[in-house]
Amino acid sequence: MNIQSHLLLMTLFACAVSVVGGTLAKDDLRQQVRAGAAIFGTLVGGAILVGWILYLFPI
Amino acid sequence: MSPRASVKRPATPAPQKSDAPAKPLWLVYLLGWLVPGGGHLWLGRPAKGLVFLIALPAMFVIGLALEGRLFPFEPREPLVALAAIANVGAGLPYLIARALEFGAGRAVAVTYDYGNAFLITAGLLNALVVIDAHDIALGRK
Repeated sequence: MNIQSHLLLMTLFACAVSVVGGTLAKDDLRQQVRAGAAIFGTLVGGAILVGWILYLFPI
Repeated sequence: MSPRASVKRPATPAPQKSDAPAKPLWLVYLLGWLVPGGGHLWLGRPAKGLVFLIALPAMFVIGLALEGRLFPFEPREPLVALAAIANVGAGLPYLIARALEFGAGRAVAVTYDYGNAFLITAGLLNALVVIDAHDIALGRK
C-alpha cells in the first residue's frame, strides 16, 4: 500500500479504533456514535496537539 | 379505605431466566478469539458482531499492506514478545497470515511503524472484544 501521508494514516487508524471502541463501549446506536466520535476526536486532536508541542519544543 | 391504598403498584419484575442453554464460556472465548466478533454473533448480538467482524480483520489486513511485521516470540526481548502476544490476539487472520508467510515486515518502509500499530492494535482490540463477549455470556451486559 503506497500511502505515505502520516496524517491520512493516522486518521485511518483513529477511524478504525473509534469504530471498534464506540461499538464496544455502548449498546445504543446513538451513544455508540457519540462515543466513537469522542474517541476519534481525542486521538486525532491529541496527535495534532502533541505534534505542535514537539514542533515548538523539539527534543 | 383511601383511594390511594387501593392503587396497586406493579410488582418489580423478577429477573427472567432464559430457557436457552447457557453457552460454555471456553467456547465463547475460542470463537471470539478465532473469529473477531464471533462471540457476539453467537451470543445474539449480530450488529456488534458484524462491526467487529469487518473492522478488526480490515485493520489487520491494512497493517500487513503497510508492511508491518508479525513479531516472533523472543523472550529475551520483552517488547518484541509483548508485540507477538498482541499479534496473536487477532485470531484467525493471524493464523492465516502466518501460514501464508505474510507479515515479514520491512523496517525501512515509511509505513512500517504504522503497519505495526495496525497489527498490534487489531490484536489488542480483539482481546477487548473477547472480554466483552465474556461479560455478555455472564449476563453482566
